[in-house]
Amino acid sequence: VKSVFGVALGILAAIGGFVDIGDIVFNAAAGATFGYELLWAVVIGVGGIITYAEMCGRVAAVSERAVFDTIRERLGANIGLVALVAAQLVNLLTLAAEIGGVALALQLLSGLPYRALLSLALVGLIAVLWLMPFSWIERVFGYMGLSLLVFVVAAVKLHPDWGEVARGFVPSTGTGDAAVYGYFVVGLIGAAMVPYEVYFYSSGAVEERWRPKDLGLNRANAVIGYTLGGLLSLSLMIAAGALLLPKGINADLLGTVALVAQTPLGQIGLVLALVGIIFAVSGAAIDSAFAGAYNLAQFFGWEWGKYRRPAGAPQFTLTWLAMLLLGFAVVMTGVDPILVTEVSVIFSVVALPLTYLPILLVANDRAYMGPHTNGRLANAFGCFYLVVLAVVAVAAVPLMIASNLGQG
Amino acid sequence: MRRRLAVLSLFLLLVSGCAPEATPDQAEEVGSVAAEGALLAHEVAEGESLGAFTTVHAQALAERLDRVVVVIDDPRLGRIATRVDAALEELARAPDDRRRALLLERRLARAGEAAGQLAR
Repeated sequence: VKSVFGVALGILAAIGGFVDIGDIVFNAAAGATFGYELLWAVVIGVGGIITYAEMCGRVAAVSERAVFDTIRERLGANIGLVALVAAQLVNLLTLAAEIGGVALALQLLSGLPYRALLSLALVGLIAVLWLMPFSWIERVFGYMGLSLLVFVVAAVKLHPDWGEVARGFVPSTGTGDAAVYGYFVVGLIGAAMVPYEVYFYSSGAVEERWRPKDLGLNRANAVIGYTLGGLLSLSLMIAAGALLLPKGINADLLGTVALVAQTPLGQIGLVLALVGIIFAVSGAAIDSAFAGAYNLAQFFGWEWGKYRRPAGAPQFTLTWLAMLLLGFAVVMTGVDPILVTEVSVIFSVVALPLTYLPILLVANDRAYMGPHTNGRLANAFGCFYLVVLAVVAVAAVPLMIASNLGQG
Repeated sequence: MRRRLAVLSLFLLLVSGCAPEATPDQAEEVGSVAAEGALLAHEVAEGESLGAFTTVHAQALAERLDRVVVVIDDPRLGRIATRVDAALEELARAPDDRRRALLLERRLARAGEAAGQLAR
C-alpha cells in the first residue's frame, strides 16, 4: 500500500509540475488564435516527452548516469561542449521567463510593483533551493501546481463544441496564416518537450537513487504523470478556444489566461488559476536553475546533487545561484517575460535533437543497459520523435521570423 | 532626409487615393483589447473579481493599446482607441465599483464592435 501511495504521490507531483510558463503562453495563445485546431500538436509534444522522459529515467536507474554524462561521452568533448553551451543558453532564457512569470502572477494577485516582486521571487527561490529537501521541493510545487486543474473545469463549463474539439485531435494543415500556424505547431511541441525537463528528470532519478527495481515507478511517472499533465495543456487550449476566439481576444498577457478561468468560475477560479500559475512556474524555475547546474557539473565532472550540502558540492551550488541571478538580471532589464518565453521555447526547439539523440543511443547500448535496453516500441517512438524534432528544429527560427512571433 | 520622407509619405497617400485607413491588424488589436476589457468589467460588475487583479490587468491592457495607438492613422480608429483607453483607466482606478463597471462594460463592448466593423 505504501509503495502504491508513493507512486500516486509521484504522479500527482508530475501532473502539477508538467506545466510551465511556455506551456501556459503557447496553449492559451494557440487556443485564442486557432481554437481547437492545434490540439493534435499538444498530443505529439506530450507523446515525445513521455517517450524520452521514460528513456532517460530508465538510463538513470540502470546506469546511474544523467543526461549530460551521456552527452559528453556519446558526442565527444567538442560537440558535447556545443550542446552544453546551447543547453545553458536555453536554460537561462527559460529561467528568466519563469522568474518573470512568477512576478507577473504575483502582481496580478497582490497589485504590488513588478520589479519588487521580481526581487521577492528571486529571494524566495534561493531560500527554497537552499533550505528545502529535494523531495519536498518536488512535492510542494507539484501539488500546489495542481490548482491548474481549474482549467479543466473551466474548459467544461465554457461548453465548447465537443465535435470541433474531437476534430482538433486530427492533424490538419490549419486555416488562416500558414506561417503563424506552423509557428504554433513548433511552439507547442517545443513547450511540451523543453529540454530542462529531461535534464532535471534524469538527474533527479540519480539523486533519488533509482535502481532497476524502480523502473515501474519511472514508467508510471512518465506515462501517467505526463499524460495527465498534458491534459492541463489541452484544457487550457480548449478553454481559450471556447472563450477568447469567438470574442476576437488575443492571449498575449498572463492576466488573459487567468481571465479564462475567472469567466466561468468567478473569483475562486481566478484565485486558483493564479495560485496554480505561481506554484507551477516557480517549480519550473527551480527545475531549470537546477538543470543548468546539473548540466555543467556533469559535463565537467564536479560533485553535484541537492542531497549534498552546499559545501559538499560548491561549484554546483554556485552554478544554480549564478543561473538564478543571471535570469533575474535578464528580466530586470524590463524585457517582456512573455516575449522571453516565446523566444526561449523556439530556441529550445533548435537544441532538442542534441539533447535527445544521445539518450536514444545510450538507451540502445547493451553494455550500459543490459536487459533494460530499448525494445522495438521504445525505438519506434524514439526514432519517430527524433525525425519530428529534426524537422521542427530546422523550421523553428524561420517560422518565428516569417510569422513575426506568431503575430502574423 | 525628413523632407524626402514627408514627400514619400505624401506620394504614398496620393497613390492610395484616399485618407489614411485603419489596417485590419490595428483595428483587430483595438477590438481585442476592448473585448477583453469588457469581459474584465463584466466580472467586476458581477462582484467576481479581485481589486488588485482588475487594476493590474486593466493597466496591462491599456499599455498594450498604447503600443497600437502610436501607429494608428485612421482618425475613426484613433477615437475608438481613446474611448477604450479612458474606460480601462477608469476601471483600473475604481476596481471595486460594480455599478460603474457595468457602464464601462457596455462602453467597451460598443467600442469593440465599432473596431470590429473597421477591421472588416
